[in-house]
Amino acid sequence: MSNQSRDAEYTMGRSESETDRLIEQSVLYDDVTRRFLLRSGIAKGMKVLDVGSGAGDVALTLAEFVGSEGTVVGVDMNAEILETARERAKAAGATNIEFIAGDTRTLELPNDFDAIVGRLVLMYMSDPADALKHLASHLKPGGIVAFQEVDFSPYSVAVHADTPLINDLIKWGRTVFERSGAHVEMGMELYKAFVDAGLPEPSLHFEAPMGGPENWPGFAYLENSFRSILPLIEAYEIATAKEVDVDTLAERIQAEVAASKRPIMLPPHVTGHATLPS
Amino acid sequence: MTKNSSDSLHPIHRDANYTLERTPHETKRLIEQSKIYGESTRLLCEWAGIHKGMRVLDIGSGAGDVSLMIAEIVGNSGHIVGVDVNPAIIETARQRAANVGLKNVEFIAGDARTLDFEDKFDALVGRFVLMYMADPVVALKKLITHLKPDGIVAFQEPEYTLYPAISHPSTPLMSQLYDWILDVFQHSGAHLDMGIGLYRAFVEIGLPPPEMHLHAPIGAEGNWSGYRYMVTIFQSLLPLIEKYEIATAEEVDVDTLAERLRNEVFLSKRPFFLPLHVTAYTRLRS
Repeated sequence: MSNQSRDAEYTMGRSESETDRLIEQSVLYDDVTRRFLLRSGIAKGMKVLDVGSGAGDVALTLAEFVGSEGTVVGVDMNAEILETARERAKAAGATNIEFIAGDTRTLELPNDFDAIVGRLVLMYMSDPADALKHLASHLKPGGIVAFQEVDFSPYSVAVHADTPLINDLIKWGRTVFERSGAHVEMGMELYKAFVDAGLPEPSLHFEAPMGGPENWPGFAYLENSFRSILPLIEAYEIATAKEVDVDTLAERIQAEVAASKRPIMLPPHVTGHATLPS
Repeated sequence: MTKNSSDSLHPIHRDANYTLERTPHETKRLIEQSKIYGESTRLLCEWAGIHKGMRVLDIGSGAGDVSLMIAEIVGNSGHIVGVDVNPAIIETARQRAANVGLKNVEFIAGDARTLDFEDKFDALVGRFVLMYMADPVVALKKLITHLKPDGIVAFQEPEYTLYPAISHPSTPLMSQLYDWILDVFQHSGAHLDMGIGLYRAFVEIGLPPPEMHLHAPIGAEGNWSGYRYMVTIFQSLLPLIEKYEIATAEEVDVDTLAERLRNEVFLSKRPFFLPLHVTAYTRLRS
C-alpha cells in the first residue's frame, strides 16, 4: 500500500448504472457484510458511522442491526448518490439513518460513535492508515472499527489458457483500478493499515463468491461493473468499447465458464475488525 | 504447478496416500480443523438447503465433525450416515457422537464408492475428501446414485493453486511452508486444484453448474488459533515430508513454528493464510 499524494479517482464513475451496480453488488456481498457486522459486535442501540455509504446498502443493513434505539450516520462525497440512499431509507421505513454529503476525514462529526464501518472505501483513499487514525478519533472508548475491502491478488494466478475473455477482464480491471490510484490489494493491507493507525490488531476474514449457475447474479454484476469502469478504460486507453463489448459481456462470460468448465471468481473481499480499549 | 485444463483433475490410477497420515495426532488435528473451517461448512449446509428431517450421507467423515454438525441441523427427525475408509477413526467418531448423546448419526467403515445403501439420501456432503480420490469425477458419479431425485450435492475442498498469488517477498516462511505443502500433497497423489475443480467435476457428471464460494481463514493477531492449527498440519505432514525427502524435521522445526509465523506476521504486517478452500453446492435435476 503505497501512500499517494491524492485519492483515487472513483474508478467506477458516478453514473446511474453505477448506482444500479452498487445495489446489485449488495445482493452478492450482503451476506458477507452481515456476518462481518455480527462478528464485529455491531448491536442494538449503537450509534454507527458508515464511511462512503454510496447507495446506502451498508447503512440500511446497519440500521437493522442497531434497531430503532440506535442511529446510523452515513457519509459520502457524492451528494447525488445520497439522494438515492435517502429515498431507499425512506422506502424501507428506516427513520434512524441520516446521510451527510462530505469527506469523513474533514467533516465536523461527533466523537461519540460506538462503531465506524466502511465497505470498499479505504481502497480509494490516498492514505488509508492516516484516514483510519482520524476516523477512530470519532469513537468512544471501546468503540469498534470494521472495514470490508477488496483484494485482487488471487487474480494474478487465475489466468488460464481456456478462458481468454476472463483473462482480458482480469487485465483490464486491475489496470484501470491501478491507474486511477486505487489500492487493489487493500484487503491484504487492512492489517497493516489498522496497525499503522495505532489501532489494535484486527481479526480478519477472506471470502469470494464464485460461479456459477445459469441464473447466477454474478454474471450481470460483472457486466455492470465493466459498464461503470468503461469510461476510464477508454480514457486510459486500456481497451476500446468495442473490445470490451459491454452489452454482451454477461452472456459471453457465462458461455466461457460453461465451455471451459472453470468457475469465475468475483473480487475477493477481506474484512477486518478491531475494538478499541475501553 | 499450474495445470492446463486437459490434465486438470486428471484421473490418477490409485487414490492418494492420505497425506496427513492416520495417527491419533491426526485425529486431534481434524478436530482443530473443524473449529477453523466449521463456519464455512455450516454456511455451505445452510446455502445448500440442508434442513430438519433430512437424511444425509457424509463422505470421508473422519473424526465426525461434519456429521456431528449436520446431526444438529437435521435434528431427531433426520438421520446422518458418516462413511470413512479408516476404521480406527470411525471409532473416535462414534465415541464423540455418544458423548454428546446423538442418536441420529451412524458411522460406517468402508469406501462410499463401493458401499450400497438400502434407503436413498436427501443430501450428499463431503469435506476435504474428493481431493484424495483417484478419479473424483467417477467417484462423484457413483456417489450421487445414493441420492433421491432433487437431492443436494454439497462439497468443500481445498484449492492450492492460488498460493503463488499470496506469497510475498516479506513473508519467506509462509512461502516456504506452502512450497512444502504443495510438494507433499502432489507427491502423495492428491488433487491440488480440487476446490476450483469442483465445478468441472459437477458438470461432467451432468449436475447443474454449482454456486461456489472461495474461503480462507486468515489471521494475524497474537492469540489467533490459526498459528497453532498450522503447527498441527505440519505435525501430521512431517512423516511424508521426510519420507519424500522434501525437507528434514530440523528444517521444518515444528516446535518453534507457531512463534516464527507470528513473528513474520508482526514484522511484515501481512496476514497469514490457512489453506484456501472452495465450497460448492447444487441439486440433482429432477
